[in-house]
Amino acid sequence: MEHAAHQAAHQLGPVLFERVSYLWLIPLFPLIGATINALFGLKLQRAYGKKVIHTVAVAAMVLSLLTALYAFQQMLGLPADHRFLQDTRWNLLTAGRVTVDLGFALDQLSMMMVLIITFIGTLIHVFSIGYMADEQPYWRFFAWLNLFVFSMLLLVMGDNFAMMFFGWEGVGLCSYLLIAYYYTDPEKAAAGMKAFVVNRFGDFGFLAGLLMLFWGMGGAWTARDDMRGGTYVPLPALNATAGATTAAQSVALAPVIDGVMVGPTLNFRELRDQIVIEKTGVKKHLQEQQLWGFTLLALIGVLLFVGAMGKSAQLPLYVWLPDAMAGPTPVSALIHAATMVTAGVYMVARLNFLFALSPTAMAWVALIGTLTAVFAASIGFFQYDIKKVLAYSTVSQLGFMFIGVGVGAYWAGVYHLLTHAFFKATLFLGSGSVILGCHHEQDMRKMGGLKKFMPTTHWTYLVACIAIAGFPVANGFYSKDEILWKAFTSEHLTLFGFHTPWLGAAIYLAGIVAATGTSFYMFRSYYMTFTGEYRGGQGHGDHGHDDHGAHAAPVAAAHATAGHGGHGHDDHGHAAPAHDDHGHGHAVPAHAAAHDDHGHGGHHGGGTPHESPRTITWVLATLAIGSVLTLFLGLPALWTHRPPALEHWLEPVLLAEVPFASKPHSWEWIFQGLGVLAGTVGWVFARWLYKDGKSTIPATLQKKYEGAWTVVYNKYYVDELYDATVIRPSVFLARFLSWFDGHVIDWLVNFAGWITRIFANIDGAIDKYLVDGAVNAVAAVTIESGRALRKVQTGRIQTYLYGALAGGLAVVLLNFLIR
Amino acid sequence: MTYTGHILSWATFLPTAGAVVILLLLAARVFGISKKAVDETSRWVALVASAGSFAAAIAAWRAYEASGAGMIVAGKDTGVQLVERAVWIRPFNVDYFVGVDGLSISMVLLSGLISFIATIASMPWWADHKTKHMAGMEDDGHEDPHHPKHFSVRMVPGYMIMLLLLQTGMMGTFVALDMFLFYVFWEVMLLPMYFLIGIWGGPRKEYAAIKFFLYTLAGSVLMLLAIIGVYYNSGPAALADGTPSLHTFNLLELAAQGQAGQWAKALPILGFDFAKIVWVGFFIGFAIKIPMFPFHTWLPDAHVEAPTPISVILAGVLLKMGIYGILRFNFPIFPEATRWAANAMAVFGMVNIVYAAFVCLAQKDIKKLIAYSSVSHMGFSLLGMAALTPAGISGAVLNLFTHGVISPMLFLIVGVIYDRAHHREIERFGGLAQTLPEYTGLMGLAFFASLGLPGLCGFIAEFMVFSGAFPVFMTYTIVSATSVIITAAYYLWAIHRMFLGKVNEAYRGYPDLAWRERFTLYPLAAWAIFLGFYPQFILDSINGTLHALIRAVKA
Repeated sequence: MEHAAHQAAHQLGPVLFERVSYLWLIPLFPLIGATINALFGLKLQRAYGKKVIHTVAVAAMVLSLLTALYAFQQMLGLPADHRFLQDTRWNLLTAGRVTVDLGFALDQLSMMMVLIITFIGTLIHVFSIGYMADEQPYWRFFAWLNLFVFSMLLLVMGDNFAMMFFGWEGVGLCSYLLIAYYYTDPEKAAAGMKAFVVNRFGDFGFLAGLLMLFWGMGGAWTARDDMRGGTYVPLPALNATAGATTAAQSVALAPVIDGVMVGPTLNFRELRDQIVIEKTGVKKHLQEQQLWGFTLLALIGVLLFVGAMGKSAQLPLYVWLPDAMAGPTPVSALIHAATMVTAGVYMVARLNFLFALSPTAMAWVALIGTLTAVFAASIGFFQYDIKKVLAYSTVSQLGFMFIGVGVGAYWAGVYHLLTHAFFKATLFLGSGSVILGCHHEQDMRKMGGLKKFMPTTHWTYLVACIAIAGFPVANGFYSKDEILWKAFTSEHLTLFGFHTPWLGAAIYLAGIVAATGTSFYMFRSYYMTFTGEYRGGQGHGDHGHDDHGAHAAPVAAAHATAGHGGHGHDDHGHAAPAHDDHGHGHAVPAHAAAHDDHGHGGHHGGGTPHESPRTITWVLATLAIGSVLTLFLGLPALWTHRPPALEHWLEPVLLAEVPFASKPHSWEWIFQGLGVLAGTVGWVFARWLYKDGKSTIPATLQKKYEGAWTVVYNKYYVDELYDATVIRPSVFLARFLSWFDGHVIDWLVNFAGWITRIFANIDGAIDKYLVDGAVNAVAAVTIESGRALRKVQTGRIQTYLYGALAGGLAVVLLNFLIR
Repeated sequence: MTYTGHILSWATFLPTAGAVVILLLLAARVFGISKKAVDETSRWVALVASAGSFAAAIAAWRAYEASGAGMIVAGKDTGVQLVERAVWIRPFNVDYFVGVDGLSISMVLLSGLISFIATIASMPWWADHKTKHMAGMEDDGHEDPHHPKHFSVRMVPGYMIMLLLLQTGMMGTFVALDMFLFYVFWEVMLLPMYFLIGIWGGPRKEYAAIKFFLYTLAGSVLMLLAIIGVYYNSGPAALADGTPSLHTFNLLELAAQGQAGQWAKALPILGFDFAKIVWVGFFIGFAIKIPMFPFHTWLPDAHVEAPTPISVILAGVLLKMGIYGILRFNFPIFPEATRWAANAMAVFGMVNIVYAAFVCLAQKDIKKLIAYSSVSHMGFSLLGMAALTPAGISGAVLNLFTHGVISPMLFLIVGVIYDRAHHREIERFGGLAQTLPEYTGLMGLAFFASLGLPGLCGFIAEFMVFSGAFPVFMTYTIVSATSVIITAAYYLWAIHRMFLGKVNEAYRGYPDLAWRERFTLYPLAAWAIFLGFYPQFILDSINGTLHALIRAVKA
């Protein structure tokens, strides 16, 4: 390996860390907020109104943000290679070499994540005050939102795999709870269930990868005896004898090479030290191992990435994210755009030193990311639900992030995570503001012309569109172009054991197509929503459904049942496009019907859209400004002749050295130009086709290519495919096994019982007729003879005398005869 | 040995004492004490007796020192503490011999806890009038066949006596260190259970009770044969007072002899190795109790028909005895045969986990679903202990405890809705979250704990079992790990159908949790969260003994 030699060039030492004792407070505050609102929220809300609910929740977020800022300030005071804050609370569990601490760590990467989570989290909490004002279970929303932040902070701050997994599943739970927030609508509840179960597929991969890594590092129980002449020779078979029962013993039993504790570990810092410091021999050992005919490291990398596929909605596990839009819009912004879905990207970046060891794993990450980016962008083209567009956009953008961390441009992937957090949060919250302004309308065909009604929402949305489309005036350009440039220059990827230097260029090409598409569908949504004439509030005769104008709750509720009665489990009215017109609009009124005091009655009368309250617009403005300002974190080295600020900051963490081909500067300029061109092309097309809603070309094209359009519009029928290949067979298997259990296994048991009874009956019969019969026969003979003999007993003395005489004669006679 | 207390005997026999008091009460009815007074008093007696037993169990837990010196047998420290020992039946060389080590101490605590919770759940108290009326808990002596009385007001003294005897049997099984004594307690457990299901159970109670009784008895017979075989092939030992004996029932002594190769001297049975045959005998006897596929079908029936507190005990304590027995008998006494059978155990563990999880997915009765989920979860223990690794075996025993906390919660939750709706069909519910928010919250906690959500205790045991078993049984572990998906699917689907969606009008206006339900659910919920974040609380006590055990098995 060429880069192995490269890495040896500069020797890395163990991480120097600073012990602190306040990091646990950062997740603690949201946990307290969540606990208060979850346990007492209903009573508090009844007694003191909604204000107390969001005061608790927002205060928790602000305290958490302030603590994070304090940590950031402390970190800034430390030298660059010493920026690692460690806070270990207690030992969760120890058995053998499996030891897990409740420990928190902040390095540059997790610090960045914590700041994003707490900052954007706080803003979205504030946004929700206005957005959720009409919802009755207000307390439940804020309790779960706080709980989500707690879990997300555990995920990024946990100093070991187990803690990360705590957060990983915790955010999954909160996602489930918040998607199913309107649980009285079975369809929305089902979306939550789908999200959790699909994520569990990913978790299965994550768990399997983790187990393999743990095993690969020397079995679950390495003893001190395994040190052979000072080098690390793991011998799994030997080690059952090393039973550490406490954390202290576990440390004491661990072999140490050059001051580095080696052997299986769940701790990220220890893992990094073992692998990065080559003298320990762990890296070599890992690279040499095989499992089931695969290179172990490739298997570990791919399996861990399966976990990321679930959480970060990559092909083929992305299907839950579009459905997750059933949750309230702030949830979509916080969980399904800015933070939770980036967990997979964070995980790959966190384990960069591990992924970098396997070009195969890297190639798979990048390849899946690319396919997802293109695939999801294409679905985004034709969606009419504004949130659906953004959902597919998120899936696509996550694909871009995985291209970054896949090809080894870790900092670029992470930077895109950051920029995306800002612009996508702006877009989602903007869409939320639009939905609120248009009286819970999500169909873009019923919007239009909102520019004049909602000025702040309009300009913030536009800024975010410019950012995501990749124009150099906002942050998206800098992260996306760095990713694509690095992809183009990566020639180290390997697929199926074959070196594939062309893969980088192929990824670049696909990426630029996806970027063009991104620009197109985002500006499409912008033009459809904000320009032209307002199309809502009037009749909807042209769409064939007129119940939206009135929004009469009972009608809508009936509609909900009628419309979905036919779809057993899933989903939003696939087959006929026209059907989808009302696929989402009705849900809210149906919900309104469920809550007597929902308070929306007045709004539903139609009328003009209105700008949202200030808690909403200020948050939008802050995020939009952030979407611009964060561009300064990633100004390319090409322009400034020094590494981008974020790359410099993250360098000690993202230490894996990946051999990118070096290309002349002029190429880089050209590629930046191509990036801008892609954005422009998408924008021009969108403007041409959708500005002011005047052009009839989209409709004509749609008619002409009805077949293809329907396939894409129905999301390539992937949900149906899952239904046919996974869900139905599983349910069939379950039914079969249940039948088997009842009719075969239990039948055998009952059969055994039956046989026993048969035998018992036969036995009984034998007993009754043979054994008892013999006894009875004896008895009968006795009785009968007795009866016969009784006649002899007459009581007359003469008879007895005759008898005695006869007996005497007989004796004499016998005596005579025998002699 | 300086320990002279009787904590374990108190824990074991306080319930029996309670049962005797209730008998005396019944006798006192001759003197004209009213039925109502007897019922009420016997409830109090049961509550106090099982609380006392629980207190003694806590005292034992506190007195047990994980790193402290234990009883010395054959020159080795066995780690067994709090020993009480006296000659019981001299002609048969039987001792009254109780004590705890790391394997049993957590089970003693669990048994005390769950017994107490189940006793609380057997009381018709602490509920508002409406809840009582819906459940049929009003003790007005009025029998209505269409609205049968709640088990808690039917033949109360008899129920309490049976419940208390059951508690003695359970506690005794976990503390007994004499094979004969163990068998006695094991059988003592059986009869009360039979009556509790057969008299106070649901519509098919007779079938379920007979099935439970005969099935378990079949296992007991195998166990008895194995016990006799082991006894007559054991070497000489001494009774409690030092009297030498030719053979022994002493489990610690047998373990020492077994590890020293005693069974190599034994004659083969039907041409098979003695140790293996006896191992299989014990194993099947215990496997029925686990229950292990294919011996599990008694469990769903027993659970479905049993009254709630009995389901709680059945799932919370009785199922643990299978695994406990294997670790107490098969592992230490037959180390060689254990190694021989480890792979088979792992396969059965895997089948249990995956097979039962799929069966859960198809269930229509929520109680049956939970019963099968117990089968699935007990598979983790089989897989973990078969691996013979520290994390595996600690995870297996921790799983006993965590499942012992979670599954009682699940059954209590089913009990709550059954008391109100008088049916358990998942499809017939819907939208319960609207009408019963507090209940739904606790249900969510229990379901998520059971499906292995980190932060709740189920996950920890699962994780330890997987990480312990993977290096030894890679494929089995990976296949077993698919259960994380299926488990999530069946629980969430059940939640979806029962609790979410539009409110089913039939269930509008149902009362939410009453205090009698809160008293049982909240302590268990607290345990589930506490152990989720601090499992070392249990592991500290159990690790030492278990790791010594696998060292002995692998030596």
